[in-house]
Amino acid sequence: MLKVEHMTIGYGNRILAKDISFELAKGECVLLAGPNGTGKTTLLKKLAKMASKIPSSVSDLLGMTKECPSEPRSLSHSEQSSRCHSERSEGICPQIILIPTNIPKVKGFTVEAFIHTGCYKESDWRGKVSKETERRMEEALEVLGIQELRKRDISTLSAGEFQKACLATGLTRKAEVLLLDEPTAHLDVENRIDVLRTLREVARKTGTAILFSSHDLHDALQVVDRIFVLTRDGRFLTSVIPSEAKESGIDVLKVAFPNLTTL
Amino acid sequence: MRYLPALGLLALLLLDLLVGGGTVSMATGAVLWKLRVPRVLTAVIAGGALAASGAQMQAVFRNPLADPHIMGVSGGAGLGAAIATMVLGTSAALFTGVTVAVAAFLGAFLAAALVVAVSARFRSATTLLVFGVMLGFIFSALSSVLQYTAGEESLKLFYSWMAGSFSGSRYFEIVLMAVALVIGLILAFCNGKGLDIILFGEEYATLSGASTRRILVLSMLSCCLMTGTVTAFCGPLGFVGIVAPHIARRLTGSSTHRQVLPCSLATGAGLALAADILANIWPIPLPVGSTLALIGIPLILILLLRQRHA
Repeated sequence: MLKVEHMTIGYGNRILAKDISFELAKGECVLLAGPNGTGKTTLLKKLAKMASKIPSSVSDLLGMTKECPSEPRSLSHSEQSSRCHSERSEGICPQIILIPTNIPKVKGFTVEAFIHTGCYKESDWRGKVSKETERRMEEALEVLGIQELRKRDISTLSAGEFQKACLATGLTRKAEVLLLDEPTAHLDVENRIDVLRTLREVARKTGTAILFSSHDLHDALQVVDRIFVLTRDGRFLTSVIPSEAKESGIDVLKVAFPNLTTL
Repeated sequence: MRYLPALGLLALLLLDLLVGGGTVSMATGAVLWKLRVPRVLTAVIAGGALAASGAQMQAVFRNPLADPHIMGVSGGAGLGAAIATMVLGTSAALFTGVTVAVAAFLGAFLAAALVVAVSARFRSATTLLVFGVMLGFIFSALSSVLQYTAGEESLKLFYSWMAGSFSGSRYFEIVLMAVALVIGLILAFCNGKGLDIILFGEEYATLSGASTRRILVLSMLSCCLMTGTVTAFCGPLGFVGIVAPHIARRLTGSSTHRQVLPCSLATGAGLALAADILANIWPIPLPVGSTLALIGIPLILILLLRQRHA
């Protein structure tokens, strides 16, 4: 569904990681791990940015989604965008949606209004969403099991419930690849496990590919199919075989976190 | 219960028509039509315009205390008025309220243009906020310099504009303010979904496919047009822009701008009317700028203290 080849991430003149290549399959749930400052967020943002350069209507139009073009060794943003534009005809990018960390729970928005607002691109000038979008929102709420929360003010939601509302926004926006930056940050144990299970379920039920960063390695390991790792020396590693996720995952995690003894 | 706020607004409107100088008799409807109706209309338009500007600024800067004053727009208007009264106004013929109003208007737009120019360059709302505050300080410093060197007559004129007032506007000026209000509101409503999403931060807005720069520029244009025009004719009026949107949010229980903007218009108008009533029930009318502060500041304090509780 999403294929990335030889991507470089960094900012300014600093390269964080080179030669990032991976493929994400439909319905796959993948953990992106690595110590702080190794570029997890940067990688997620770059993927989201790449996607925004290519209109999602192109993939809709052709009714299929293939690979995302990746640009070899370029760092400046202007260069990146021009490259993406030029490759527009070659590759078709799936709808990639990034849910950032720490979205404020602004008082005065119901879950419904929050999702409608998040559908900025999909709504008309008044902010009205189409019937089709409305229907997808219903589906998303159902998949996530939060239908009864729709009229609740988001400021009254627990962190876990709000995370699900954010997920619902992504699904309503027809995400084919959902990227989540630290969805389990600031959650207590119960909510953390709940959100992680939800991620897996969403991937299974909707066929959305999910890639999320997290520091809760132990809990995340229980639900993911594969693990991607960014190391301090700028390497990008993936655990190979999905069925052997756990062993392979622990192996790659140990590369990134050499001092880690138990998992 | 739902109609209570609307009824309150209507009551304020009628009450405001009853107060003020001169006695209304059947024979002399002149007082009503030439003095009181224009004053009430001015209060409604000015209150609504400042409140709608405040609502937009609070969204764009994600700061509950943002309002037109903070962006230096009133400061620019003040400088314009100061220049008009103290530099140009050496000859008595030029020395009228209209000159002051036009100069204030130009000053407000100078400040507005600077803010819009900067907002096109910097996407960060914080940078813009700091810029606006600093701009306001510079303008008021320049005004002070002018006041220091000014004569007695010009000072008096300048201070009467600074004090703020809804009275004395003619129908032509009211039409001007109404036009500015309508254009400003159209801009605001077209920007409604942008104002909603910017509440969740610039990053989230960008990720959702919104152009934060466009949202900023549109809302700044709208605010400057409305605030600049109103400030030119009524003087720099504070507190409406801060308080009215908060009351609107409390009344509607919503922060989406499709609800907050229309409701802010009503609460802003109500506040302005209340301040105007309080200013006019005395034998000698008080400056509206002061009565607004007397009504507005307790309301802000109540809002802040309640927030602390929650």
